Amino acid sequence: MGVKQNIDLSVNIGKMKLKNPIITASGTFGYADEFDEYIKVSNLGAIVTKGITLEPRKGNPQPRVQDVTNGLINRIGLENMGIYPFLEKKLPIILKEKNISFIINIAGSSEEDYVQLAKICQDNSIEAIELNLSCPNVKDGCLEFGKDPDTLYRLVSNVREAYEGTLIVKLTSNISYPAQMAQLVQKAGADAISAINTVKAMHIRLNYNNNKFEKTTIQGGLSGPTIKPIALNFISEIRSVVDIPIIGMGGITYVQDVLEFLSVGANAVQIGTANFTHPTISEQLVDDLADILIKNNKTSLKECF
Amino acid sequence: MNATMTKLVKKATLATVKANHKVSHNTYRLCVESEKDLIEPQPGQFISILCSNLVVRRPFSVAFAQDNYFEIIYKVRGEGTKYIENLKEGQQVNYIGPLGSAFCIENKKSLFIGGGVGVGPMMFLAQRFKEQSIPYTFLAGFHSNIDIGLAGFPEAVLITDDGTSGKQGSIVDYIKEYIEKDKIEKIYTCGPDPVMQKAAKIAEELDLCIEVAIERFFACSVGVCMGCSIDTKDVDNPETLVKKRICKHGPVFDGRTIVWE
Ligand SMILES: Cc1cc2nc3c(=O)[nH]c(=O)nc-3n(C[C@H](O)[C@H](O)[C@H](O)COP(=O)(O)OP(=O)(O)OC[C@H]3O[C@@H](n4cnc5c(N)ncnc54)[C@H](O)[C@@H]3O)c2cc1C
Ligand SMILES: Cc1cc2nc3c(=O)[nH]c(=O)nc-3n(C[C@H](O)[C@H](O)[C@H](O)COP(=O)(O)O)c2cc1C
Ligand code: FES
Repeated sequence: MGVKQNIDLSVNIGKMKLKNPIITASGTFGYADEFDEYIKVSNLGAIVTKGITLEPRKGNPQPRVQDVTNGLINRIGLENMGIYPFLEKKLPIILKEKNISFIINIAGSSEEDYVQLAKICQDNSIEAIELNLSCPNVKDGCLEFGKDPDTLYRLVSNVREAYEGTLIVKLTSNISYPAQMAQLVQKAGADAISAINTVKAMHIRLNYNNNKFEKTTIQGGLSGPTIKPIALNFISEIRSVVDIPIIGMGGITYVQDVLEFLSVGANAVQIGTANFTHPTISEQLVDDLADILIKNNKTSLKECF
Repeated sequence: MNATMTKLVKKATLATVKANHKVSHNTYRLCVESEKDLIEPQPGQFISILCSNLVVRRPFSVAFAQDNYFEIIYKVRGEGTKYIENLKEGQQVNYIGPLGSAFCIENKKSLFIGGGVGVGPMMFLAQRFKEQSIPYTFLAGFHSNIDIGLAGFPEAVLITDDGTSGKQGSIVDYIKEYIEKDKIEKIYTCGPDPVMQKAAKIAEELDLCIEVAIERFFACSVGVCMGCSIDTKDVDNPETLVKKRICKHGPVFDGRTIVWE
């Protein structure tokens, strides 16, 4: 496995030049070191870290995950070590893997959190950041940052001012007007949009016991193949209104899925839940994509769509 | 680790089903032979099986392993285990592993407390103790005689909740008795949380070492999703809670570190 000769899979996202469009999604790839045992991480286009906050977060109590037909509901609650321990302990491990592009996924509970995190990334010469805007704005009734147009525009503009590297804004799919939000993100100066984050969902388990139903509920974000049609529609809607690169995701498992996302206007893709099903899938997809191009007499991705 | 050492790459591996048979009314034993050289699983470790088109793999403790051959003991619960139940001899299984931590085998007279399918890893541990001639006492608890999924361990003390086989009562009612009788120095347990919690409490009272194998829902099985993360205590500093991922730092933990829910 590895780079196929004479096949150009490279893509540019902001200032980043990626070897190929296969990126692993936030929260599904740890900080990359866990996957060292399964694949050669440097064969990937890029990796996105688990969401990182200013202060460490403990996340939600158990249970945190539940699979459903063709999907997975999670309510991890952003358990992470915080930005400073990350920079100190995990970043050197990622950097040891030379020749790898990585994107830090950041999350906050206030607009100031995002700006401060962006500044820290700027000071530490981090190449790219992805803003996870599906977090509740604690100061503003816990509405998600990505849901209110004014907040979204102001937040992205302020982060843009604080950070010179490649700025990717990850949109939530739980919004009514994706196109409007995407336009605001572009206007605020983002280099790229990534979408979609998980879709709000609920799983119910009923046990009939002693003449009554006992209900166990798990509420969280749905990912996996079942959200692919939602993601494709979302991306096709925003592609018609923005020019900046789009990184598509949602249920990608096979190379066919990758092509579908590229065909609706994504420039690159992220692989999330599929990493759990097949830990070697991301590297496999790079290979499969090159094979498809060869089979169809193409030498570069740019010729495809 | 030596920097020049080549990295051992674990891949999802195929194994061929050698046997898959019922050991009790809803418990089965799956025996497989791995296609590739198996990194030898140790008692306590688990493997994660791809079940048909389910998005999430299902984790199972290894109940026996030798060379390229291994076994799991599983209870049919839902779609994943139903899929495994229907696997026929000669069919292939896609698995990753061995994963997670193993029991630490010490030359100490030990008590094994296995509840339900928790007897699987205890059987594997007993096997290793036998090989090393370390004495042990094996308590195996089930709801009823129809649930008994234990073979090849005639020395095990059978306990059923309803008394239909062996001794009657809850396995936890017998722990103290056997610790005293057999002069136990260390406890190993795998089973329902309440059983392990009680065992841990007894171990603490009697100042004995205890290792517990914990189960929760897993999504990735490889330490990246934080789905299996639990609070643990620092033994020397019990006020400080530390998050640990069962699939990576466990499933075997020092029983004193667990914060029982
Ligand atoms: C480290 C580890 C080792 C395990 N070893 C074994 C083993 O040796 N033998 C064995 O039979 N099982 C073992 N399990 C549990 C096993 O993984 C589950 O029974 C299995 O995933 C159920 O899958 P399913 O699709 O059949 O059921 P699902 O459809 O997922 O669930 C059906 C029912 O089973 C319950 N259930 C599912 N998963 C678990 C779980 N992890 N813990 C408790 N209840 C659960 C659910 O609450 C539900 O009521 C282990 C789990 C872990 C984490
Ligand atoms: C367990 C889990 C944890 C996740 N954590 C994050 C996170 O910390 N930050 C983030 O922006 N997205 C997170 N996501 C969302 C994914 O990055 C991705 O947007 C989503 O899962 C859709 O892609 P998929 O269907 O390929 O998984 C998480 C998803 C899962 C399944
Ligand atoms: S199951 Fe994903 S971290 Fe343990």
